[in-house]
Amino acid sequence: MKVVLSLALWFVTLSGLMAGESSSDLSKGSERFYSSELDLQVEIGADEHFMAINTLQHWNVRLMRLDGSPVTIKALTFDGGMPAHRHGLPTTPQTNVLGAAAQVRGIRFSMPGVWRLTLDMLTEGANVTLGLDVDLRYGQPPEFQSADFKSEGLIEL
Amino acid sequence: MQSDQSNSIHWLLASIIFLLLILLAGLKLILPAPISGESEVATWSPEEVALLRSLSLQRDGELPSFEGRTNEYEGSAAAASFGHQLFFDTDLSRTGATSCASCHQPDKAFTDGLAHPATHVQTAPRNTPTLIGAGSSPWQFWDGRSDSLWSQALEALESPLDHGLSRSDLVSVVSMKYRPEYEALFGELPAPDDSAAVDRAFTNVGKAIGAYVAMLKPAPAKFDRYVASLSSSETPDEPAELLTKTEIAGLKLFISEDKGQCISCHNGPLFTNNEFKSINVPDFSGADSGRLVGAKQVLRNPFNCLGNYSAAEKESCDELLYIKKDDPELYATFKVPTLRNLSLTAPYMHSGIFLSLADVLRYYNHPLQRANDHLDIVPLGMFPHELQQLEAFLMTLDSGVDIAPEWLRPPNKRRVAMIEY
Repeated sequence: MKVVLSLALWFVTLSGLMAGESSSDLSKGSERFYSSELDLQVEIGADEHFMAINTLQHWNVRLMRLDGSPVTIKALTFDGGMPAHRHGLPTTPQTNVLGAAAQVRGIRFSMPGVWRLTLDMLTEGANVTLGLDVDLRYGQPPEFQSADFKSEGLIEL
Repeated sequence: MQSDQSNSIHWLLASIIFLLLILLAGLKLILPAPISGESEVATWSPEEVALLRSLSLQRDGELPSFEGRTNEYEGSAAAASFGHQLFFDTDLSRTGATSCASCHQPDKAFTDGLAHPATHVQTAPRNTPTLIGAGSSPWQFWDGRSDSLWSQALEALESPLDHGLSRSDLVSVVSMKYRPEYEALFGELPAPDDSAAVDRAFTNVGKAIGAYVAMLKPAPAKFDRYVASLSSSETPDEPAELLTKTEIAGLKLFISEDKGQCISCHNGPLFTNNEFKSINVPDFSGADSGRLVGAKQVLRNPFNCLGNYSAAEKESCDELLYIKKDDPELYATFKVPTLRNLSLTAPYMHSGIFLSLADVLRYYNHPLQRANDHLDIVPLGMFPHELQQLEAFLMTLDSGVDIAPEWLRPPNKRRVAMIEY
């Protein structure tokens, strides 16, 4: 019995160590979301702390056609919250746009669980909204559970 | 001689009682007597181990520290030593009877064991928070109206509710008692009528106190040693370092997603995400708006990160630049306190309403839901024995300060007031 317990402890410890190493606490990271219907992709990413829990982070947002050609974002709004906890974002992120690149600065995910995020991107001729559901857990990469695109108007190249 | 009938009735009764006992044990309403002293080797999933590590004081990791951002004297031994002397000096008050240590008593984890200090005569008096680990929070006070330890000290020094000392009087005390220490760090003391220079000296004194308080970090607790043993390559062989069955049961309840969801707010190595939340304390009168006002106050505070006395580049003042404010969600919310050293920091909550942890946990089991008020906790849904297990786990977070003991006492050197003719 002791042998079984020790082996179990070894296994748990080893996998614990491995799981620890795959955590994204301090890491640079990014994620892409695609809509074939709208011929669009959105890339969100950060140089550090991407999707980390309880750490202030700044995102770069890029809007592109599926072939990678950039689509200019004229204005960007970012909002969100945790539906299960009935609260909004714990900070007031600030957005700014520079041609094809946009930034959302001052995001914090104050607790593990499912966050619902909305990016509203105003482009030439259309308003594109990306809605994301992401589940954050300690020691695990973020799990993007859903991404939905909405668009009003036609995007001009 | 018993008749056959009464014999079989006895057997029937015995069987029923036996089955009932098994049923109740199965439902965990009663347990076989826990041998609470016995050490436990529990198994944890990799995800749980990652979570436990995120909650523990890692030997190789550093606690987040915000004081150094705005206080250029943080980390200076000379400044901390000066601050240490100031901390215990009752002359730093209008009455000559109040020092920082009057309310932040080292033997009570830097609290005072009261619902609130006797001098807090305002409508909504507040409980004295611990200073242990306070430097790891971006916000000070229950409503976060200061964004550094040094600016918190400055408010306490000036406030008639605390020390009630004017800035020029503070400079006079320092001139009389601490001229060499002050001038070695900050240069010449100002003339009392030069108000701009007095403001600067006032700030310097705050920063010396902040440098001392920033050193008050929690020592590793029983819980941290347990988590470290999970990650080490040797199987733990010192039962004294392991948690007991009861404590582990409490820990499992603490991290459980079904019961209470404690780590939503009590996460990170200090068991707080430093956010502002509402638990609808039963004695709430509506007089204390908490963070809704605190957010406005910290933005207006001349001693904040963006102010002229701050050592920080304005662009680095992230907490203020992205602060949540003017949101009804903030009404009557208060800073999530640390769960370390709870055995010494009673009474609990911003009003000090709960005298014991058992009272806190009982309340969390059935919190008040007032109409239209936002409540940030969910009922724990625990049986009495589970509340006891949870409390036992919380006791494993006691540890005191990770510092040499002389820092926790008034310094030996006594300065005699020097009267200048």
